[in-house]
Amino acid sequence: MLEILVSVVVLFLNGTMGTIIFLRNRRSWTNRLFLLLALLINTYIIVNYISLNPPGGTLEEQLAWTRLVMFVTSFIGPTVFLLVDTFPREKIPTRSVILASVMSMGLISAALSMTDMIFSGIELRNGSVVPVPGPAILVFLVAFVGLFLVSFLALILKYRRSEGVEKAQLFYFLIGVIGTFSAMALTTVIPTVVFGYTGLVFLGPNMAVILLTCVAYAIAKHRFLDLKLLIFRTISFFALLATAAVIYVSTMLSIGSYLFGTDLTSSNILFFSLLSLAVGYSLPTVRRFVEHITAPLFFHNPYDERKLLKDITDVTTRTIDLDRLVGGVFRELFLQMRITSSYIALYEGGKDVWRKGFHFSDGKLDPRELYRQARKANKIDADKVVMFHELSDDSVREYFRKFDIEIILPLTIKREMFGVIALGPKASGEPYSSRDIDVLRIVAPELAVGVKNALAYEEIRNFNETLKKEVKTATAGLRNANRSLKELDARKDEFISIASHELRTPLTAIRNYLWLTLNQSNKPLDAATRTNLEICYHSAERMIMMVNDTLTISRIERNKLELETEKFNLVEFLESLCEEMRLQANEKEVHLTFTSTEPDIVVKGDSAKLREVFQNLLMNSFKFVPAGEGMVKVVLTKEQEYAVIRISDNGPGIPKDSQEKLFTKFGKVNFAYDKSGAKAGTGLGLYICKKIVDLHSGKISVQSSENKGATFIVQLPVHSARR
Amino acid sequence: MDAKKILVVEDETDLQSLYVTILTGAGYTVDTAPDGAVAYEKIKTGKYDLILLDIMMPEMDGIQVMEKLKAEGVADAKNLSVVLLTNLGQDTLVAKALSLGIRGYLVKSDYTPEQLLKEVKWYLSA
Repeated sequence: MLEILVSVVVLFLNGTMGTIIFLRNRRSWTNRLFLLLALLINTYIIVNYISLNPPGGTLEEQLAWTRLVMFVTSFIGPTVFLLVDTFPREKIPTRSVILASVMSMGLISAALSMTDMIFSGIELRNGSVVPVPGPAILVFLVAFVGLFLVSFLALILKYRRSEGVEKAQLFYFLIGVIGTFSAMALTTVIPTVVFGYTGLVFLGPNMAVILLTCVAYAIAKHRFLDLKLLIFRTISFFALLATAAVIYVSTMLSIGSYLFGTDLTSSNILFFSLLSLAVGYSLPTVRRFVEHITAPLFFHNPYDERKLLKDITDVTTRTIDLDRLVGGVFRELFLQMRITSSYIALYEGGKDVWRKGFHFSDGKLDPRELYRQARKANKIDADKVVMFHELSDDSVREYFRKFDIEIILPLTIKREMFGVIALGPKASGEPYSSRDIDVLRIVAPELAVGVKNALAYEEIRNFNETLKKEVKTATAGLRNANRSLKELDARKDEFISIASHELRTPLTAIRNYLWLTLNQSNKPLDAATRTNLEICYHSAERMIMMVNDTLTISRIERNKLELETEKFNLVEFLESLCEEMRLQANEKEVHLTFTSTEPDIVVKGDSAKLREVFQNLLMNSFKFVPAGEGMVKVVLTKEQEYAVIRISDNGPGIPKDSQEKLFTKFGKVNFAYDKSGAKAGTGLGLYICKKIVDLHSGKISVQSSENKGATFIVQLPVHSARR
Repeated sequence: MDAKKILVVEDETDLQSLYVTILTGAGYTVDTAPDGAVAYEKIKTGKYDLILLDIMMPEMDGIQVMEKLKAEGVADAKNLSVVLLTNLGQDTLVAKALSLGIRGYLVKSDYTPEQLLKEVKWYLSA
């Protein structure tokens, strides 16, 4: 009795563990193999028990059961091997040669078990039943013991190579194997061999429960809490079921024995209790299976709401393109809910934004009319759903019928409606069930959010495009403007050039004839005429100067002032320049001197332009020195890398506040207007000087204090052969 | 002493007569041409110690005259001494003329008769 009880408990544990593990992940081969192993071990325990206690008690019968034990056992080796090989992955490693050889080994051994090749017979020896080994016993040993050993070695190898969680899992597997063998040794080999006591032998096969427990724990290890809960729940459930089964079976058998005189033995109660336990345990699974098979026969639209909603969520969360989003959602509704047609219209502020129909019978559906009808049905606000078979208003019914609309769902966000979905009839022809409506109530707001996102995305994209276009247009406009400005500028330059040239021709005539009149007239001029003509002459001179300056400035502004550089001796250059200027100095009664501290200083520059600079500076000085006692000194020195030219006069000097803007355009000294009248220049001279000196990488500056004269300093880099 | 012969090529009559006055006053023999075409013919046939050539003129401008003279080898054969008389100042046209072998240029508006004579004297002596 104890033997049976222990076996029943073990069978139950093994079966439960196998089932739980299998149900946790049906697709995993580790779990499948585990279940197979559990079932094989259970079968082995049962068959082994029967073979030891044959119901008939004959030797032939015992031999048959023994062969059956061998048959079952033949599969355990290969299963263990595959489990070790696969564990803890979901797929069996694809090594067909190994797979085929292991499986054929099991099959051959199993097939041979049922013949007299493995056990040729059975005989009584010293009062105990002993099977006689046949010639093929070795095949069995290889298939069972050999594979077991190989598996064990493979397990150790795998354990050593593994890491992390997998290592921990394999560790439990190993513990299970070792534990099982130790327990078997403790219950069978050691008591029998050492003490000659066989009372515990029956426990041997049951020790496999240790292996299964350890492996089950290993498989579920990373979800341990989950497993604990599951086991707890299963045990409570089973205990309850077992109690109910025993009471139920006892009652039934009692009634049976009373009515039909059936035997009310304890073994009967046990057997039927187990039977009903098995039935009760498996019934929910069987029911689900039957339901699944028969659903298409009894229901027209068997679809899994969870799957449909999940698929739709997939579409709405992964699609940003409006077309594809709407198409995707409707596609799922077509395929799973089996609707036949659909229509969607979006609007904003009463205006059509977008619409699309799928298999819609009439493409001329006016969305405005649709909203109007929907509103007329007085239900379409917020999250209300309008269904054809609930409509009472005839005209609305008529409208729905015209377009074959079964149901209208609003698209709303924050209680603001911005579109509607109209759905046609279902393929089955039946009205939408409350289950369908519930699903649609979830789908509609989800689609609404998706559509809003898609619209926003599209808007941004359109905005980008518009922006790009506008930038392009603006750029083109600017380019055109720039081109015409350039043309205009070129024409202005041309105009200035021609105008200046044209102005200079008559000015040349005026100036020269005045000069001839003043200097080479045969008749002496009277004083007043002479003065008047002299004013005319100087004015003409000034005008020519202005024209020249204007031309130079125009060149400077166009960056067309280019230097024609050459190396020359600055000492000689200034000497000859002063010689030339002495003519005009004499005219103006100015004493002009030139001194140089060096015999020669070579510079590299545009001598014509530099001549302009110094002429300008000297002319300025001539203008401002006091009449009759004017003194202008030109001094050339060399200071470090620069040739420094100082032009000093004994004029009125330049006030500090005027010095700064002296070299800017039109930066004339203020008093020039009042005091020097006719002496006034264009105000461009010094600006031009500075520009030319800058082009030579030089510097120009002024030192002056009022009534103490002024000194203009020009610094030009000395040309050295090294550079 | 043989008076040096100078050709003044100038389309502006006022300026032409001005230069004639100045130069003859200084004792030079002066011939004139009112445009490039006439100037070209005169240079080809006559002999001048100095030619004062304007650039901007009708018919044929100073540059074209120089180009033609150079192309036909007249410029080299006669060893012409040409000075540009212009109001253009530093200009691409002047630069071009310089490359064609003229000796220099005088900006008309910048010179008084006295200065002009000094320049002419210098060119004739050099």
